[in-house]
Amino acid sequence: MRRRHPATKVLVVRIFPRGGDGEAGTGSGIFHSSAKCIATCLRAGELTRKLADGKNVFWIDVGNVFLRPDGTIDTDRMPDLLHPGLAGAEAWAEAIEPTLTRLMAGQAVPAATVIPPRGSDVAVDPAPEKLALWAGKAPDGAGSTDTADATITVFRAAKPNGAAMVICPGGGYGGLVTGAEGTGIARWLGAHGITGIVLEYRLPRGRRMVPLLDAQRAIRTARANADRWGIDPGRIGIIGFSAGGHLASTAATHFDAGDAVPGDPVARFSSRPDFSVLVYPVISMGAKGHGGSRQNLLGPAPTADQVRFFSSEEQVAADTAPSYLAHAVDDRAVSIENSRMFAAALGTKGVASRLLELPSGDHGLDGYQGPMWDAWQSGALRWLAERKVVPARDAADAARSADRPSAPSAGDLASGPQQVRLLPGHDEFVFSMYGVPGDLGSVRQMVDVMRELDLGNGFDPGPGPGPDSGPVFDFLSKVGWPVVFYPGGEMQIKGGRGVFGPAQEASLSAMDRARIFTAYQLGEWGYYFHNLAPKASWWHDVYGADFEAHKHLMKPEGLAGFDRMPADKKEAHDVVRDYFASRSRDLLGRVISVTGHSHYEAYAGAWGARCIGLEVGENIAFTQSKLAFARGASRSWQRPWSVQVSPWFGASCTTSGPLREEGGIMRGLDAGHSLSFYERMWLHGWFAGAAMVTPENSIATFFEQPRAPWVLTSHGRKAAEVFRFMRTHERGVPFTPVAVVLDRHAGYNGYMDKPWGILPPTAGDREVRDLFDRQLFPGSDHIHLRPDPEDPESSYLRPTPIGEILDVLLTSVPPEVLPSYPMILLAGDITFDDAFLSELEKALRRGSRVLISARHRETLGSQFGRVAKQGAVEVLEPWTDPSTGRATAISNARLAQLAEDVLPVEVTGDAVQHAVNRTAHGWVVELVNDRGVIKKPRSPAVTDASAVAHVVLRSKTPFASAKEWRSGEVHSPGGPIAVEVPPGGTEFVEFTEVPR
Amino acid sequence: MRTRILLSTLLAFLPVAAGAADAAAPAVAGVPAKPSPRAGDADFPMPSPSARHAEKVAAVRSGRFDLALIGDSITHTVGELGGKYEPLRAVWDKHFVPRRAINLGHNGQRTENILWNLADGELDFVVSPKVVVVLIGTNNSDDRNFKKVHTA
Repeated sequence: MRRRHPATKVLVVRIFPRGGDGEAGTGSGIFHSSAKCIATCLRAGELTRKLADGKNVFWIDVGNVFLRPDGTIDTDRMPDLLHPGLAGAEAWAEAIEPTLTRLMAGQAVPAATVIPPRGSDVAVDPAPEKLALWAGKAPDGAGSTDTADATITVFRAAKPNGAAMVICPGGGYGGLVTGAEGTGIARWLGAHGITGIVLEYRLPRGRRMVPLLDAQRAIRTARANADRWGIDPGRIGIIGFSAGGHLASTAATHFDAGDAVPGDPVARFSSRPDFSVLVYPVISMGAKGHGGSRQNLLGPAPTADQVRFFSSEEQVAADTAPSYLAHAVDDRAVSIENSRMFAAALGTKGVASRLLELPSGDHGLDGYQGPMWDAWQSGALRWLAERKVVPARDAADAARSADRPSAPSAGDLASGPQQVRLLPGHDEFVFSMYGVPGDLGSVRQMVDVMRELDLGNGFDPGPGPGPDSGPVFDFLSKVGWPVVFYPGGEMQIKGGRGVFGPAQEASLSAMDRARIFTAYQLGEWGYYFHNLAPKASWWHDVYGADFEAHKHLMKPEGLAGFDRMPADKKEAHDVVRDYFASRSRDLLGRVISVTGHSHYEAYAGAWGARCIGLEVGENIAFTQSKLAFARGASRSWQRPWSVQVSPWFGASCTTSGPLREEGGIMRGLDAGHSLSFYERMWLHGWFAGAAMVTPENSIATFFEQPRAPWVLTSHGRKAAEVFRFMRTHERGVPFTPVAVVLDRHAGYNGYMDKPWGILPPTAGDREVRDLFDRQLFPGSDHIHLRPDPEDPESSYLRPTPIGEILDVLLTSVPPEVLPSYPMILLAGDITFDDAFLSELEKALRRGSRVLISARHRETLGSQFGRVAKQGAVEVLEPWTDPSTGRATAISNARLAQLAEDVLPVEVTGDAVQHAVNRTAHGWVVELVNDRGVIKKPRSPAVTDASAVAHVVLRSKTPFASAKEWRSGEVHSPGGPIAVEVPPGGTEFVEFTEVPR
Repeated sequence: MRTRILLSTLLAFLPVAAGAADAAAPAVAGVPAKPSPRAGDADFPMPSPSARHAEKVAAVRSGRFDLALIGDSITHTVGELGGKYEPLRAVWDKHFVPRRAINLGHNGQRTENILWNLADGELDFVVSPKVVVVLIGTNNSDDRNFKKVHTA
């Protein structure tokens, strides 16, 4: 081309988007493309961009013209999901037109052009229609007419769902806030398919009937024009703010069926709104109302009858329109009592209502923006969907928009509570070195080596306190890194008792004064490892021939569990709690709990562990559920959490040097796990929010020899590379809008598959087990039972059907934690005690959605009605998993829908493990390809280069750029993006938000 | 893997600065270094000659065009495929006829087929067009509807 026609300019058009299996085409001959095909197209489209040099070759991406705002194919433009139809062909021809014109005229054109997404504004008719209500003869309610007229401005939705709302701006009846409480509302409604009709009512100036007459007229006018405006005359509501809320409430309580008036085609229609939405409304004209509104509406000396007529809480009847109310508890201008009185009055008349009590926002909800503002909008849409006023799809959109406020802001990132560090004020993530010798020279040298080689910034375990450790601890105090101590093998693994002298205590005090995190590890406490098991066979598992010699160490005073099998979960819970407390006292309260063979993270948090640690690798599967437990415990109890990654794998341990057998155990760099496994685990623990990640036994695995000249093994080089990566990327805060709540005494234990490791599981316990190991993290449960002989590492981390979007909480959760989760799923056997019910109801009132099973409804009994009244309680449809034949806590389909509703980014394509974090600037999606690296305990890792995961991401909100952290690939904004994750690799995609 | 192949074919066709692409360019761009392609050549796996191709070569060699649209069905349907796409002729008439354009879209063809067409005469313009619009590759990615074993 270049040789034959050197002057010709080439315009490369990016390959168009195409529809996948999940999309519906129209007409015959639909092309559903595979996820792989879509991924290839997307990637190829981005690669062709590189051809553009801005001189001879230019590139243009018009893909957005074929997409709806939500990123799906617009079948009006691409009916068969592949070929543009007439509208589509016109759209792309139109889109390249300006570029083509300039190129043909020899004018300058950017090397690459991206046609932006069709914005949500497109969903609203750009030319709203404004009309007068009374044709110049507006009645004043006292027998005369007014010279001024009221107007309505009709914002027709581009895709109307039939619902319409008359919008009454506030302004204390002395003015009209027509922006934020008028046209802004119309545009928001339009984006959800609802026609918004902004009413500019006449100000009363003492003529008290005037606003109400205008509101009634607006509703009649909407009904009269229903056909023309594409609305359903049976789904016309009224929405009002502040004094406009008062007006809406009077329209909801004073209405008539209409009268035939000659020459007036509007008067014969009903003025009854089908529903009302009242946002920080004035309701009463009595003492609890708003003085200014009352003065402007009723004048200085209203009669008692007038006050009563306009006090809507006194005007409710059985046929009053159902109402959604939202009001901040700290509203100083108009007391929340207004909304409460109205909701109560509706309740006594049997009229449906819901009041969203917002925890803050004052009058105007923080200036019509932010979390409180977003919360009433999404809550109102959900309520409308429940009442079938709008389709459920629009409510799902609402739930989606609710994500943004519930996601932590940049401010939260700076101050917690979402991400708890080892010590307040210590912002750095800790990657620790394991097993440093205890003399001052070694410690000094190791600090230098770690700083120089980027190998970490903490010791777990480090040198312990002892009679001679003064200088070591003085040095560590200056370095400021956290230090974990091992209290000796016996106490660490078997729960022996700590005995500390004055010297140790002095050392620890010095560390405390220097504000260094220190803790003793208490490992694997509970019925299995520690001697709380009631069966002799278990004691001997742990102690073998030495059992008798150790028995005296193991029975704290007054501990019942040693002697007999607990009768129920509560007794087992109490035994373990008392035991934990006794050991915690022995360790001077400085406990870092580390458990792998149980899911007791929440208990460690509740019982005061300084850090909630967990171990993964070795024979411990269910990594992802343990992270969810740890994160939930951390957020509940405000304790940091940490992950220890074990180098053991069968009778095989990663060390340095060639693969060899020593005493029946395989050692060497190729023993133990694959480097891919370590990398995925370290990165995933970091991204999931751990305060500290500890590669176990690293002193032996990172260096060829544990002494100068400190030559790194490939394992050590990988660690340095990963730690550098962690230090240079802002991981943000895990976005986990879903709380899975278990009973406070559940004692969930994945390893033993029995509550507290010993009690027979109930049907409820099996549901919980299936939820974690089959539904959320399928296939993560059987490492210690039956490792996959072909791919023995495959159970540690599993592809996630819905992503890691949850935290696990217990019903003992402290106050105010539960309401911060927009979605709450109860699982297993739950006892509803008063404290939990109170938190659950609080969460409901603040807009959380609570999903329960028929079992929970039954347990709640007569209390169910009261709970359900507080907000959105969903009793889940029962579903039996065909693969197990067992009933489940929630169906897979509902889980998928839930994820779709709450996740800010949709992940499709090849199965990968994924999680989403919130950063100060947007979102980061972690994509882990757990396929393609095969490692057996006694042989080197083998990589299958073809096992690349092709993933397609669709952001549900506009973004300015999307960047892959590891490959460096940058994606243009708008539309879906394709990402390739190498075998056994992790990729992170950062979406930078368009500034709002 | 397919992605990489698609890119290399494009690189081979388009003038870019990359060294690898320069090295590849003479071999494919219809210059004497390589004999005229034949149906079934390794680089041009699918026999491409068709009535439409012959027609287009004749048009290119005899007419004058300021704009050429090189593509597959998505280009072809704009004005020339007929059938249910007949209405799209309006788009061609409005946007492209005034620009003195030629439609070099070939329904169902993959990038390598289109390269074959170009090397086999569809670039024999008497006067160089001002602009060439290229929209190809869709059929290479489709593992369901346009299956092709050959990828390398």
